[in-house]
Amino acid sequence: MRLGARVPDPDRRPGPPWPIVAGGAFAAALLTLPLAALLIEAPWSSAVDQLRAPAAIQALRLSLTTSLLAVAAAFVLGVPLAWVQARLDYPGRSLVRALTTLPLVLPPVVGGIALLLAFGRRGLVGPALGAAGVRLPFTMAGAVAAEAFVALPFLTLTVEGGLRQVDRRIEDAARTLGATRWEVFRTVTLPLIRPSLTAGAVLAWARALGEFGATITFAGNLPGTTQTLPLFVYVTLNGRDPDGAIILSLVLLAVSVVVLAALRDRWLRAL
Amino acid sequence: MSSGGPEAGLEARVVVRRGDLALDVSLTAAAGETAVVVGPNGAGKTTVLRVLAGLTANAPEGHVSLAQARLDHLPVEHRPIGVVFQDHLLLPHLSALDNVAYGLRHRRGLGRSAARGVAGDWLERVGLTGRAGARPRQLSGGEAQRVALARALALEPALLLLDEPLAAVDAAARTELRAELHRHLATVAGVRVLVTHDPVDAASLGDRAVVLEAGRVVQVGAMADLALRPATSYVAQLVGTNRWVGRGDGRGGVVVGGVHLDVPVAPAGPTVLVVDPRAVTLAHHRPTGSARNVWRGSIEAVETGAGVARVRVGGLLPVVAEVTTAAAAELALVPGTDIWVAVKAVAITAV
Repeated sequence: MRLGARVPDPDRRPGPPWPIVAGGAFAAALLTLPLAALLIEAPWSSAVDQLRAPAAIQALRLSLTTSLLAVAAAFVLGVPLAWVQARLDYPGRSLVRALTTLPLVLPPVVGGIALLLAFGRRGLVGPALGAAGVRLPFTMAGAVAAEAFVALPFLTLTVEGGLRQVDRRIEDAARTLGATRWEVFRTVTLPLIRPSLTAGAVLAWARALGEFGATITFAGNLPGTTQTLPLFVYVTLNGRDPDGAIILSLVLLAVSVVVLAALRDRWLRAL
Repeated sequence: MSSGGPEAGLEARVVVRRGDLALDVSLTAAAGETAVVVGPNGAGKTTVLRVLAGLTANAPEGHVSLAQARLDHLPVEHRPIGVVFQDHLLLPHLSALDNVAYGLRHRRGLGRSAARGVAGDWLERVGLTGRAGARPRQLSGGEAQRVALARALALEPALLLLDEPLAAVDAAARTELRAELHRHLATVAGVRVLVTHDPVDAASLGDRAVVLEAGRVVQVGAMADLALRPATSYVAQLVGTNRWVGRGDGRGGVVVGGVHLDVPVAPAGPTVLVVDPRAVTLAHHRPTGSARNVWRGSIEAVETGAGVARVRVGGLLPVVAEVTTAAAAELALVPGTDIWVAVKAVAITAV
């Protein structure tokens, strides 16, 4: 360190414009304040009891089950969709991308109504499903469907990005070694996009876990069947037990922080 | 595997039209023979190899036959081929051993442990026993290329395709790897087709060269034949020979680029002349000996090899001369200096 001997740096930029710095600091504080309040105001002393409450455990367990099932569904549907979007050049590809990305920006309530109009009892394909013995609205399967609907774009876009990164000549090389297209997909492509599969699944899971609007609209708010954690938090906050709502909010916050930390290399470094 | 000979050979016409590439190449090679497809960048060499492998579609008028059987409708994975790619293209998520075993499992249908056993033998043959567990990114360029070679050879292909197999290897390792490659190629009973832009690879690894320029075959033959009668200036440059196009005056002379040359045989009209660079002499003073063909040029470049210096002289009639390094030192050949060039009439061949 050279203290004192300050050589003027020819590349040194002039001081930062203080109004922008002040504005940025204010925004950061504003965004941090609610999270800080959640931590400060939380009824820590009763936290363990709140988490042990049967109703809370029921909602937690249901959320875990539905969100994991939603990720599985998103996986089964999203990986082929991502492959088609990344690898096939067909007319209308941009349109398909727009439509399959829409749930990303669509108000979840609108998604829920749309699901109802499609798969509801009097919906577009609802009666046919009903005849086949499948009922989605106001069932746990419906909660899974609502979560999968909003989570799918996260998985598809991430996996599609990963597929575009793969050097297709490596897949060519595998074919010259006697592997069919399907074997190449299974033994070369999937292992090569594993980081994208993981990241996409984690993002989709985080989105499914927090899903509120589409779920309550399409699947309702039935404790033990469709009342997932966010729904339970909302109900208890306005009802008999606001403290329980705060503690369960902390659980969801912790999950979000863990997801962000897990994906920091992938998502934050690029920004 | 069937024995060698033309009946087990490759017979192909490769036709690809795509963007600025218009490729139409006929190619034959006998089993046990290495055909070298050589040409400048963009000539379509790699595309020829991809069509033979089935990775790029051949036009309807094209065809690929091996041992008198058509391969055209066979998908890549069912063709009896082995391919060594330019930048090796090892499967990055598999170890060196599993890269070699991959083809044995998928093409030959061996079980995991049997495939690994055979793969281990092949790694030993290319001198990589200790590197079996290494991932591709942990391998040096030369090691990766050896794994790629073992991976292709392990399939005992009836058609071995090699795309610039030495290009991704640094110069220090290249000579050694070239010698190894030569040894391994000799053990392949099938047809070998090697693509390169490097004349040294072509001469050392190939039995026969097929020279491609802008998607067409311009010449086919042994490298020595190419040196005697280069069909184009690219071929001449490739084999290091001087090739001039001039006009014979019918009286024993040919005028090339403003220089009048005496030639033993005296054609009339357009004439191609070929001169071995070793028959070109350089001097600081105008030569007075028997050489009748003398002109003045300017040294453009001097490349020094093992005991030999190649000197490129520009001017009215650009020429490459090959002199001993001792002579080069004595003459103090420096780019930019003017020099006298002399060629004996008997050293000029009209083709």
